[in-house]
Amino acid sequence: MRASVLSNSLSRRGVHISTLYKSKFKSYEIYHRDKYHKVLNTSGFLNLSISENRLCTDLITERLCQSDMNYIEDVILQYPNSTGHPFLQAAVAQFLTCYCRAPHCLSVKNVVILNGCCAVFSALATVLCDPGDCFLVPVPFHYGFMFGSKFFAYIELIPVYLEKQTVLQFINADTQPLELNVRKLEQALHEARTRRKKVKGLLLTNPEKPTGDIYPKELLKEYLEFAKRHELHVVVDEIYMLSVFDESARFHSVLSLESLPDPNKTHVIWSPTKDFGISGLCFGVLYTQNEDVVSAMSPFGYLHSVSGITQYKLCRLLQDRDWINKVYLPTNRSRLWDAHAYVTEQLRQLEQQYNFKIIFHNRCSGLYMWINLKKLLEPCTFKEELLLHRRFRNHKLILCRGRSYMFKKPGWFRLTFAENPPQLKEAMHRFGKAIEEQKQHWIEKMLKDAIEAEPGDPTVPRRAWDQMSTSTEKVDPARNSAS
Amino acid sequence: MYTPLQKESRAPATCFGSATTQDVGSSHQDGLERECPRNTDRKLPGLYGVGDPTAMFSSDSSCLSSRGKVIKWFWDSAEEGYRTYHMDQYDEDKNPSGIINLGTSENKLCFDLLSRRLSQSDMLRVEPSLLQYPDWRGHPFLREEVAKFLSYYCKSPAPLKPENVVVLNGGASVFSALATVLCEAGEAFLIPTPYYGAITQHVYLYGNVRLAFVYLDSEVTGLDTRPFQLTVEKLELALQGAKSEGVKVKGLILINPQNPLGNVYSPRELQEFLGFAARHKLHVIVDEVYMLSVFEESLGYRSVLGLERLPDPQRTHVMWATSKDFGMSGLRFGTLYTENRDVATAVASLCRYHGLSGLLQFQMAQLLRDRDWINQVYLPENHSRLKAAHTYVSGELRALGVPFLSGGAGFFLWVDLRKYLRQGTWEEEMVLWRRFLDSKVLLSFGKAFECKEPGWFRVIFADKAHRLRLGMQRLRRVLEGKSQEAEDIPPHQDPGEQH
Repeated sequence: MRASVLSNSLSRRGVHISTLYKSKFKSYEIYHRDKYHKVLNTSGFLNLSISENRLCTDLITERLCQSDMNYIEDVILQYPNSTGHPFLQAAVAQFLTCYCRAPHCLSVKNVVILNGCCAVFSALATVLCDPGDCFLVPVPFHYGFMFGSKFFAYIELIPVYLEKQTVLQFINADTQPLELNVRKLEQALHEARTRRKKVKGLLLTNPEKPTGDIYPKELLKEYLEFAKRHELHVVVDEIYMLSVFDESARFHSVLSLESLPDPNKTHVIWSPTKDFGISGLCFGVLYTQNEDVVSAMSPFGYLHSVSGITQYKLCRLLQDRDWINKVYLPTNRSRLWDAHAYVTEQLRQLEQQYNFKIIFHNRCSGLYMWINLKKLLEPCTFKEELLLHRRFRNHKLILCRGRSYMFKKPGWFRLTFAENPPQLKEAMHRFGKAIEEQKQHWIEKMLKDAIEAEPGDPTVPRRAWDQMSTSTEKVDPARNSAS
Repeated sequence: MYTPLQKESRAPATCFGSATTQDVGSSHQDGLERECPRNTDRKLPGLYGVGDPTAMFSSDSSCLSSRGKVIKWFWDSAEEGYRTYHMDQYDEDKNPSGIINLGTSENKLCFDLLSRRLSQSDMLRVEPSLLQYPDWRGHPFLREEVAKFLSYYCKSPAPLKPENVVVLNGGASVFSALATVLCEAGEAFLIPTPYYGAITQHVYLYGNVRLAFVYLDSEVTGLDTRPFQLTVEKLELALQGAKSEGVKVKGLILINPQNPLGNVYSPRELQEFLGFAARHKLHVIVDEVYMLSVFEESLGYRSVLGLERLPDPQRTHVMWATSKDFGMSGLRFGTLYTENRDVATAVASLCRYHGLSGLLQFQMAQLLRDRDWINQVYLPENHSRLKAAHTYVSGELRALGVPFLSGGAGFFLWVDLRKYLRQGTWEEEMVLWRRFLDSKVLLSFGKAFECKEPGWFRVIFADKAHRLRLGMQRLRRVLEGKSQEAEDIPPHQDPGEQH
């Protein structure tokens, strides 16, 4: 009955959109219905799956409340230019020239303003690709990108799997990056073409999400050269450009390169929403030298428009170099560093306490870390990963799981650390509780397998024996005596 | 699954309307075939047609996809007038010989009231939840205010529910999202013409949905009582016509009050049209964006949400936005109201791509809940100014002997300039449009509204007196064939000048 009601109301693609959204963004909906509040709803959900920077809400609120932000004039109330108000385009061009360290002043006419990076990519993919065309995208990448590609642009995202994915034996992986290299790109392109896929472009994120890796300058150039060789567009999402909080790390924007191999096919996406913790302001920017692309993006300016009032405030914000350089950025970096250090420490303590390895992918950029809890999954499958994800949810904690990022191997979780300290503390407490429970569940499972198997039976994982012999965890005496 | 829109193998019944979101008439690129043949060999010629957006284009942008080239070409041609205007915009001090825009449907009469209200302290709150990712359907506080607002102003028989409200960044986005979730690619909505031509793009860009036109005549014939009258018979014929061309029609779009005609459908007519849609299991999208811009009270406007009973509530979807009624096209706020939870959920699934800032959502909620200001300050003043501006422009047209239609709602007059065309062709309509533009007044030409015959123009009157005066002088000069060098009357001499 339900299905027939759906098909009567919606088109097939409407049903598909709705069904997929509900399954992929279920946690988001659940969170919004029962959000944590330190006073009003202490048992509500804490969401460490969401890629938001909540560490400097106080600073940004204060800045947005200043009187220069509240200015209404006729032009703001009227239809804006389809690519954004000229005053904001100019502010964005100047901002990017400065913070991307562009060798020459960036041009106002190359700036397109839309209501978010997802919107920018959807519109861009629509004008660069025909339906069914493809983009290569390094894994991990978030399902949200896929949603827009599928239901707006009707293109396919072809995952490119990273080098070290299967060699994840390191702990606290500071020195072993998940590295995309040109060989992998060539391979992926070749395979796609063998399957008669029409690859139109390459989508890179730098700093990468969720790993936080930063592409060295030379590698960036190699990717651009690869794209040029194969006449591909390159779209580089630099949304975490200013969220690099390790001063020793060197971020190079594509816009900082002296020359681009193919400027007409190089398109940069950026937004202040992550760097400035204003995701709710719905704002994204495309910078491209290709005038045809700018022109073709223009009609999307109405479907993805940004209000004049928001454009004005953003203009004021981006122009305030003093506040950005002296107040915001240093404080933001410092708080990101502290939050990151806190979570790292908490994870290490949990490792000690529960005697299992958490594989870290630990970079000092971005808003989250990438951790692998496969040692607690038995068997290590996506089904078990989902069950662990639900266990966290049962403890009113939402994380993002690796499956959402198209990862081939189970066990990965993305954990946002850019949350206010009291909430972060509470979240890590819940995380610990869930881990404790998961560990207990794991041990019980191991024991059950062990009880049912003969000693020395090769089907019982060796580590189960090791775990049982070295574990300091509580073990059910009744079970123990049964073996 | 998406299937690419195939080019029609036979000549399209009609040209792809080339209007913009701002409803500005456009020019056509030199060398492109503009006169598309009507299907005169059809059983009932001239009553229906199906738009094919890919019917013609040419562009040499090698970096874009084929789809990208179509989009770019269409935009370049449609926006030429508006671009010309932007490069030479009238300003009474800095550019008095600039172009007066009587083409874009915006209400410029009440910026003073709006600026004042939006600058008041209750509008300026900033809180963390407004800066963070929201419920993409719209913040609950805003959806509640929208439900209450629409219940009140639409005079709904029962209170409307917040859970049936979805908030997006403008009416264009509502059209786009509805097209995607209600239709497969290549399917169509019926729409009476003349209509607000930008809808073509809104439903096509992402949704790949076409429009099947219900052509309405300027001549009053048969049982019609007014020009361009929509009837169920015409809808039935157009639906059959579209089906005979192999086009699957999924819905009907009604704009009420009508743009560009400025009239309203009576409750009886609304019921008839909704009944027609229900019989054929069509969705109905009712665009009521000019709901509060009915300045002739005698019109007796009724919102669909104010009807006692809907023939098919699950297929009736109403959209409204602040852009026209509150004269803030630049603020980008639109709403969908539907009792169909599946449709609401499906549209909400796309809202991440049509999001609007939390700060703006807060301001809109503040605005909509301020019943006192709306009823005692804004609406009376707005209607009074609209009426005065309408009186002035219609008086000028009468003095010129130019026939026009004026419904008493909206910001426009639908003006009959057929007698000024040397021949009744689209080329001649463009020639006249260009003469206006060369004389520094921008109008919207009828082809952009898919009008059945050449020679109709839409003239906006919702502008300040000095601009209207100058615009009408220039219009008069063109129609009377006077030279451009004749001196304009300086703008500030009239003591009756508004704010």
